[in-house]
Amino acid sequence: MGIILFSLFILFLIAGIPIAVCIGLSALLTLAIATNVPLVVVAQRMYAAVDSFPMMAIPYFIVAGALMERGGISRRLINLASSLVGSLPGGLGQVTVLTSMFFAAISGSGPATTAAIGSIMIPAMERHNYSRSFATALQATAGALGPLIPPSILFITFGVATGESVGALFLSGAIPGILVGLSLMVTVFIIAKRNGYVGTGHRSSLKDIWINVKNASWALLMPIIILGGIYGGIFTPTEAAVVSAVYGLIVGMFIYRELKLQDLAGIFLKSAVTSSMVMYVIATASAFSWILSIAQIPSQIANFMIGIAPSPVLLLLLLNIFLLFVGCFIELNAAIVILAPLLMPVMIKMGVHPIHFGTIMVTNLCLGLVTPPLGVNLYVASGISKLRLEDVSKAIIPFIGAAIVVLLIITYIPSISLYLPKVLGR
Amino acid sequence: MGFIVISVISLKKLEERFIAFLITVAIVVGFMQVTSRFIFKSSLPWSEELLRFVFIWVTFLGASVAVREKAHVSVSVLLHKLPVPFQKAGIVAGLLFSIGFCGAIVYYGMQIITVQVLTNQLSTAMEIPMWLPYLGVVVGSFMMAIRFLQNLISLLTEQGN
Repeated sequence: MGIILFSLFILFLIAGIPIAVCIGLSALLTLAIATNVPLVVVAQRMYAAVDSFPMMAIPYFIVAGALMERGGISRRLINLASSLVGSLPGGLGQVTVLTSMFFAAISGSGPATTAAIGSIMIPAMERHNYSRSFATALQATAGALGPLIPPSILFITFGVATGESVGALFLSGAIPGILVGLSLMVTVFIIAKRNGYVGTGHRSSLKDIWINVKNASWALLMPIIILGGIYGGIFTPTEAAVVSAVYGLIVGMFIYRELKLQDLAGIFLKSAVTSSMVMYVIATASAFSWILSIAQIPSQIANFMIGIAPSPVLLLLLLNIFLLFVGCFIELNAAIVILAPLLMPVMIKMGVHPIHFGTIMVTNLCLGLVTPPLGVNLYVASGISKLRLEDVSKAIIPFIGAAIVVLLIITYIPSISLYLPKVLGR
Repeated sequence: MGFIVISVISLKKLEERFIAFLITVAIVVGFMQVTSRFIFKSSLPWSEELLRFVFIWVTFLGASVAVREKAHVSVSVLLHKLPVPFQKAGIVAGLLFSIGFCGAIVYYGMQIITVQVLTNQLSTAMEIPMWLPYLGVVVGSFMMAIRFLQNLISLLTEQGN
């Protein structure tokens, strides 16, 4: 049954069918061929997956990110980042990474971060004689920080799929996100030295920095409200997402005054479609995952994996290689809905903390945003710079390499992920 | 024929306005829920259920808009490696499969709705008929099937030119 399910899925995938439909269709046909379960169960599972209050944090955070971006936040964050790191070698590259980190603390989505910052920074880098493929590859990778630094759509999906606390998962991603960001900045530094990309030339005075902090303060406050609210027990992650959407609305319309009432319908529709694609793929993936569980595939996989990798060190290495491979081909939320419940029993058996497993999985899958053939960030970034995917693919290698180094560090030092949830946990 | 074109266009407008309206409702009601719990120390009994139902409609209608905009992610690299006639055949087959899947969800969704109407099931908090949220799945999947069909027709007619 598992074999039918996966071979149908791969067949449909190759045929270029939208991934959400590939997943749902292979689930439906497998049930029809291999079981006498009534097929109506597929529609029921899809309904049940979306009919979830915790899951609704996803659309709210997407709306919040869109409101913040259109409300003039991106530009203010870029100004702040330039005054902080613009004078370093590869200045605009450093600004790209740091701004993406700031924006990631507002947005939970990789493509959204790439689009919001990249549409300004990629042309800016090109104007200053940075190579176009460098600018594109850097922005695509920096955008992958979006779902790693909280809030994060992937962590919400992981929390809902496994029943772990979304708040703890959010916190666990903060330090790894910063580490990946720093590793990208170091990579930019090295490449910039070699290619002669210089900084902006003038070092900002403390006063300039302070003015930029003040201008961006409404954006910088948002992660504090979200994480503080969740951890102070004031609201659930979904309610925090509602509050950030309202906050984004108020800041954009009444404080920065760049958001007009007539823009709202368009922003709402666009974010609704973006989040629908995520939720729809989660819906079909949950039907797929249900079939795996009735076929008792999770326990088979667990036994198989423990058989080939009897030590946790080896197991985690295999896990990373497997997830990097998966991330190249499958929509990431679908990968989480299908694989997280599948792998969780093995991880627990081998003594890996569930939250740590979540951090490894999400960090790893974030790299899937920049690995072809299915790297959504790559598509967004190369759409902005009008480059072909092949030209960006080479330039991306050093950045992915740096991120993989950090991934391994995160994998083998659990306290990097578990420190914040432990210290701030109630 | 002209009539059909006009009705498809206005259907598109209607759908888009409805989605934007639903998101507005979601933000207003969501905020009411937070404030009532935080400020008035009592949670609304109906808001969470209403929001869940709203997002079911948003998800399935939004998924259909995404089909029209060809925004759903797919792996097309492998298909592009094939000779052109095979590519077209692959895309046509893919669209037919997609139409079949959405059609199946409409069919089974209608089965669920029929049972719910016959047994007069009501939701727990608001006590509204349970077929209302399920109708979102059916209508959205139906619209998706139509959009896949439109994509198929435009592909085939462009081949003719």
